Amino acid sequence: MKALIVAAAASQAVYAQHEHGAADLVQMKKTAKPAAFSTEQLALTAVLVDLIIPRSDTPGASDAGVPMILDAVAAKNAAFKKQWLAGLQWLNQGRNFRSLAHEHQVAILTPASMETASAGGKFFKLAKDVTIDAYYSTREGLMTELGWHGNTFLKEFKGCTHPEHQV
Amino acid sequence: MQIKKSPEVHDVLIIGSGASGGMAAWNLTRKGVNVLMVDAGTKFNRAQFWSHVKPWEDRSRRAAGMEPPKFYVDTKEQPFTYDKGNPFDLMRVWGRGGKTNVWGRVALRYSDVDFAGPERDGWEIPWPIRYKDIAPYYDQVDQLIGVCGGDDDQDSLPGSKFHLPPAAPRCGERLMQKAAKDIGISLVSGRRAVLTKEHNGRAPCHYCGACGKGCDIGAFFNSSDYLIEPALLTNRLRVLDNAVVARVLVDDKGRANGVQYYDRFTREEHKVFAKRVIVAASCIDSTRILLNSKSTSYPNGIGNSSDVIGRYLSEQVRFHMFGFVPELMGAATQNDDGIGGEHIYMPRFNHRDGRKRDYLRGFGSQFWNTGAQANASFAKQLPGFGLDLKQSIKKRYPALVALHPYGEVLPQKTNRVTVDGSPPDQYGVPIAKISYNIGENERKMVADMYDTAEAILRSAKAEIMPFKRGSTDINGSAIHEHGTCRMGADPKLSALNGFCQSHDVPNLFVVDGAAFTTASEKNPTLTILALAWRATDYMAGEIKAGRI
Repeated sequence: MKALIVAAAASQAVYAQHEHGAADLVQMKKTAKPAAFSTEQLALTAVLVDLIIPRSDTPGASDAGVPMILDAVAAKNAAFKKQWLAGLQWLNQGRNFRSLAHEHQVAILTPASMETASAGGKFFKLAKDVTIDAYYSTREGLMTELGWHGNTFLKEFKGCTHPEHQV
Repeated sequence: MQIKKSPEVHDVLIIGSGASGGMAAWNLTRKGVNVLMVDAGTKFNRAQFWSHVKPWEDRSRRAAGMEPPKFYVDTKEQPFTYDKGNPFDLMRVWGRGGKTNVWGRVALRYSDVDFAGPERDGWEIPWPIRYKDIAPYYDQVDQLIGVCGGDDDQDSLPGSKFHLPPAAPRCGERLMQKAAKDIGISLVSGRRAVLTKEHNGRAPCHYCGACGKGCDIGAFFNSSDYLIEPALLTNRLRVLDNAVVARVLVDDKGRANGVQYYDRFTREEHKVFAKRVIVAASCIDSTRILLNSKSTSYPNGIGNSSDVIGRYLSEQVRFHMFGFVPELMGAATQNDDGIGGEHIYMPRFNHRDGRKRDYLRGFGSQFWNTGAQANASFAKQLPGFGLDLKQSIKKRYPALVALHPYGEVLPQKTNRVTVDGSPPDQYGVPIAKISYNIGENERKMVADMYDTAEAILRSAKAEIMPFKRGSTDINGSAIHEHGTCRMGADPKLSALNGFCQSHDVPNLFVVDGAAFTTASEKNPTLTILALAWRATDYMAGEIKAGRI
């Protein structure tokens, strides 16, 4: 009996602890002065990540703050910064990638997206991987786009609720 | 430098505070034995766990210089080594509760398919115990810690009449159960040490799915809250924090009588004394301590007249296969967190009638990462970019299913931990060197594991993600090290008897995974708890009878 009362009290404490909603302790600004990239490098990064995950009826990669996320990574990781800036140079070789028409930009990236042997292919793979990691770990990417609503407090877990998938 | 010696002589000294050390302390103190626990870290503060920190806030916090509790020991602080070009991935948690703070919570019983395995196929020595010896202890452990699971028992996976209700399967798991059943493989409810209802005064799981960051309310078993805190309430347990044990000490009669340790931060050397010693520092560290405990009585390590200590290291082979089930492509996203990790399990089936195999022992499978995750890492393997990619990711996101088969690695004399010739750690104590290879038997088993995983996904008509057949995770990744101080009936071929007691040194016990005779394909923690309980029941009796 005593155990039951303690358990009930413990449950109540848990409910109280979690039901007030989770306010973020720290929020990162999407628009601030970049720490590792120049303004131009940040702008080119934004164009590139939006080519990988564009805006649709939901936010795109730069809407979700991916360029600043990558800037923060570059500020802490010298090897990544070097690779990234070399990649941006590859994008700009003999041209100003950012000023090209969208179709032209896509045409440049398409062959690079199909192999990982060349410098361009390697950089595209890196850009795609970090964009996916960053975008789908933002509120916009994970919640708005994918509909994730996890890491919360549930009193009950019902499992599969699709009537057609019960066995 | 002067060595600090404590004048007190304790009834029992326990090295380590994880599942096995915690169980030993809990069981002995409630039987009236005074215990000193020596732990390499300190207690983790539950209030500081990042269990409810969303991925984006995790990043912002780190950018602001904040860090979550540091569970895993950095190899820079405490290195280990391995043969060149043959790495081993050793995960260690130093601190109260050890790895149980962040463990996978899979709580499977061994069966006689496991315990009688060596006898059946003749590979290496038999276990000195059978299921009937340990079954009452499994029952007790289930009741003490709370294990959820079904009543869908199998010969290779005994059930429990004390299971808490199983966690309801996610849609992807239901589809996998059906797909496996269609090809004659039965997937049962997962057995997990997670509270699916209030249990022994503890609040149940609230299904946040962030168990790997530590549970902010302790709704899954951890040694610190479930065993050590109650033991402290008896006033018969004292815990020494930040005490990194180097060696077990012996008296002139060759009996264990204490330990030498170093303060983790000041590096000051200390000695503490006890009438009996229990080694429970997790397989590799326990082995390192035993092998470093050299004396005139024990020139190659305490309790090692058989020369088996350090040998027969058995981990498990493991890989991962992912797919997307057609029924869930483009479905509405559900909250698939549940109790974190899988709600279903594939028990070993390859030994059953009519199935042929060209290797010994067997494998099972876990299924974590089914359904909506807090990331979309799978997307990196999808082709293309732009709107097509974005839509392709969204469509597949709810449909993700995954298999993580685990296979037994046979005990081999040459798979071993050594300390001779190793460089010293920061305290001057030789570090562990791990020499470990999987062999022909494992490679054949892995081929069968791939065929099985693929057959289940094909039966589900899943789109299977690219995989490299035959490849396995880096050795050590399963975090299930066993066998380096194995139990057995023959003192020439084993270090411990069936009660985890040293054949050579009767007042020395080794109660963690090192004591296992074989690894089996199963996650070991439930069996470690049951064996440690059984060992300390026996030990308390021996103390009372004045024999040790």
